[in-house]
Amino acid sequence: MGAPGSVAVIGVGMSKFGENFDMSYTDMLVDACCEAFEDARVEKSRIEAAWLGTYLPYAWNIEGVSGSSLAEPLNLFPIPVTRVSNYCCTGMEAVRGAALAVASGEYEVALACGVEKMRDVTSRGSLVSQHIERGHPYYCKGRTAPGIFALMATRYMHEYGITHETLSKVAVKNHRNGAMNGKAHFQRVITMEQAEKAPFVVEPLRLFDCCPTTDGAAAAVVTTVENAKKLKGKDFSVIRGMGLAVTEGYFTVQMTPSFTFTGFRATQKAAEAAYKQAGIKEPKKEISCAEVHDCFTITEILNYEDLFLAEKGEGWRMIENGESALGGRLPVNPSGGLKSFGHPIGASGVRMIAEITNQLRGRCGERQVEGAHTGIAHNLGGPGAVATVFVLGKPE
Amino acid sequence: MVGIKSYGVYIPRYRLTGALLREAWGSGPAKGERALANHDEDALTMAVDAVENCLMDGGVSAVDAVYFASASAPYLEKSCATTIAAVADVREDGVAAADFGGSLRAGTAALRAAADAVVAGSAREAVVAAADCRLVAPGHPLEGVLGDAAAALLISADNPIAVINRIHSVSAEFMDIWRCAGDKFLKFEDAKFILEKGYGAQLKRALDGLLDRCGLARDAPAKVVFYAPDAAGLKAQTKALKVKPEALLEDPLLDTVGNAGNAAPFLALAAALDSAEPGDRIVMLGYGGGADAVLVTATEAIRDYDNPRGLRAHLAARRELPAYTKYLRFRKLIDTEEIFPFSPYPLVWREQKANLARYGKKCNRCGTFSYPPQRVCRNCDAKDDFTDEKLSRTGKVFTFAKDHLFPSADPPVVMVSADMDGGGRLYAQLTDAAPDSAGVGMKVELCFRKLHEGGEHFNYFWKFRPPLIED
Repeated sequence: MGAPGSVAVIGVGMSKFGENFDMSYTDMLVDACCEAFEDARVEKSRIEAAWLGTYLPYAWNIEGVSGSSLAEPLNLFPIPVTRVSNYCCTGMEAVRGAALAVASGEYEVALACGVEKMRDVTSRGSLVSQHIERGHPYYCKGRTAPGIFALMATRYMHEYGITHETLSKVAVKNHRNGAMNGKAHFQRVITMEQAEKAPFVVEPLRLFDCCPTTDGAAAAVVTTVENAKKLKGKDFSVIRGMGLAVTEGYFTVQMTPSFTFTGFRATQKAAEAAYKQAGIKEPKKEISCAEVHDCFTITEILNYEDLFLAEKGEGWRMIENGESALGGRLPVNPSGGLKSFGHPIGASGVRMIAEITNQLRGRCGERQVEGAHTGIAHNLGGPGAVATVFVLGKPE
Repeated sequence: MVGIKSYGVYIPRYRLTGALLREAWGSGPAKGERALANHDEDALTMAVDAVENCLMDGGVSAVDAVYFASASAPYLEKSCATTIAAVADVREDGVAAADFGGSLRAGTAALRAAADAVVAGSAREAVVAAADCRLVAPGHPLEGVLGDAAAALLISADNPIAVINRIHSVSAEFMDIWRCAGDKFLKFEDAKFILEKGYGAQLKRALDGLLDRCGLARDAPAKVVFYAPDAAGLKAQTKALKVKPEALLEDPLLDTVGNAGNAAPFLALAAALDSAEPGDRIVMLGYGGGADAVLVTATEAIRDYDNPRGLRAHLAARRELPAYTKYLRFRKLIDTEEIFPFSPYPLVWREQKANLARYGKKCNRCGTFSYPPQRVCRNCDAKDDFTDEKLSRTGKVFTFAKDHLFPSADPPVVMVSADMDGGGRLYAQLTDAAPDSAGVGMKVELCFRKLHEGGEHFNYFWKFRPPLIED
């Protein structure tokens, strides 16, 4: 039994995303999961198995090392709970595990939850220090997360002749969307002038080109489509396709002579796999909204191309002509994206699937994509090493 | 006949100018400049550069000894000579690597040991590298006088460009400059006392003794080059040694490089050899707890000797330090953000062939080159079927980024991914360059630098820099 078309997302939930100084890892996890149970209209006791996604436990706390970090705060014993980690694809990896388990027939109802507590240390002390102080002692010393994507931006700008203004337009769009989202980290619009005058982080990327360092948790309850109909009528989304691709990345990609620095093969391969499962032949026409991995503004532009929403070298036109804005041909990141929603690594993928599920259910208020029928969610991790694409649709 | 087969120098790009020091302290002459090691350089990395410039891509199969001499080695206990040997790809078995230190005469002592070893037949060829990066307290008058540099000689009986005729040593117990264990800065005795009883007296004794033993008249040498602590010392010594004016170096390097410690007499020797004709006799004098006098005579082979990466190229490739505070950061004279990356030594040891000698792997089946080395070919899936091949030293920037997040004594850190001539792509820091000079397509060359002090030891790896010689 395959997952495509047979597994549904029946309930989603999330904590407030942001600098949650007053919330612990478990506080956020409990908020997200309990909201998802309520939304799914299932009792906690119906959950037969769970997947927990946390990218970097042990860096600041022991929480998130194993499935027990989910079971203990929810008092969810003694069901099997698996903790997963797969760079920035960690959240979608949790949903993928739960969906495959349901599709296999092993469980009827499963939970996926992603949590990351990043701001108990300075933002510089979190991911930045991971790059600076961990990893290989020589190769790539000097790399930071924005540093990797700045290499992409330099090369993309060199090849296609765009200027930084195009990047700023991505930030302005995503901030505008985030301002309509009560759980986003940043809920304010920014101007082009602010984005263009912001200080450099890693040239050519400026402050507003970068997603923030954020705390957050998100959860999703999955079950069979058959069961979903019984529980929720038509108020759920159907997982029509899932793709995870692993390619060269992290330390090796910058040392690979064939790497173009203008796209990620992992995204392309994950998209191809997911579209094939979903029977999508013309993504540009068949997809009505997308949550893509905009860790940096340049990444969103590369994603347009890698997800086949734009031709190679033409991604920048989607932002320039407003196609990816709310109200445009194919709204991208209606939630505000990682850029303004924030990017608690393990939570992001689950949060994106939650956003698409809610778009398909028509529950997104002023940021609702009109007539949304098919949406994709995309995670990119370990720059180029891993990518996950989900295709979600409405029930028949 | 045993002699110098080749010689190399290294002068760091940064110059600390008298004008900048005057601006910082409000006193001192606002003229001249000295070479300044970048924040990622030390005596060891400079020696590596000098050795590479000396060997000029020549083979090292006959090198049986590698000697490193410095009064400012990065380690008090741990060989630097073995690092130099590993980077220069000198084999391990049958090679004597040794560290000379504790004195400004460590360099000439190492030269003497190398010459003796080749004469005795215990080494076919020997590499001698001398380097210094010495410190005085901020604001000390010698701050603008001490210079950072390195030089290297390849000693061999195989067609030398200059024969080593004789080395005469004077060893004398004397306190002039010293640094106790744990001291960061040099300490000095009275300058006039040193000039009269130490430096002034001992250099003369060494020169006199050498000329006497060789039966040479005072005006026989075409050049007499010698260590000089500063301009005043140079002037006094020139007079005391009674050197004829034409035997002096046109540029004694004090106002350009500065007093480069153990490297100083070797740099002066390089300057003399650069303009030597066959048959020219050159005397080189090293000082410290006595003095060493070395007589060499240029051979016919010097006519064909050409080293484009010599003194002239190094003096031309200069970059003025823009702010005195940068000097303080470079030498860790002010506290700034420190990073302590993970660096377990077993990993460092395991990978040294790739990381020090830059060996990658070339697939025997499809020819694909991989660096860092792979076990399964990325192109054809062959497993463990490779031939060792070196990553080349030159390449071209494919893309780059200027990182303001990564802590550095010289921000921003410019990260470069460059296609290397001969295959492979390397991602590493760009150093010695103005950040604004970086661009796609820029030519770069690799240099061996200190990356960080993770694992409580120095971690050296390769960085990019603008080529020493522009096309």
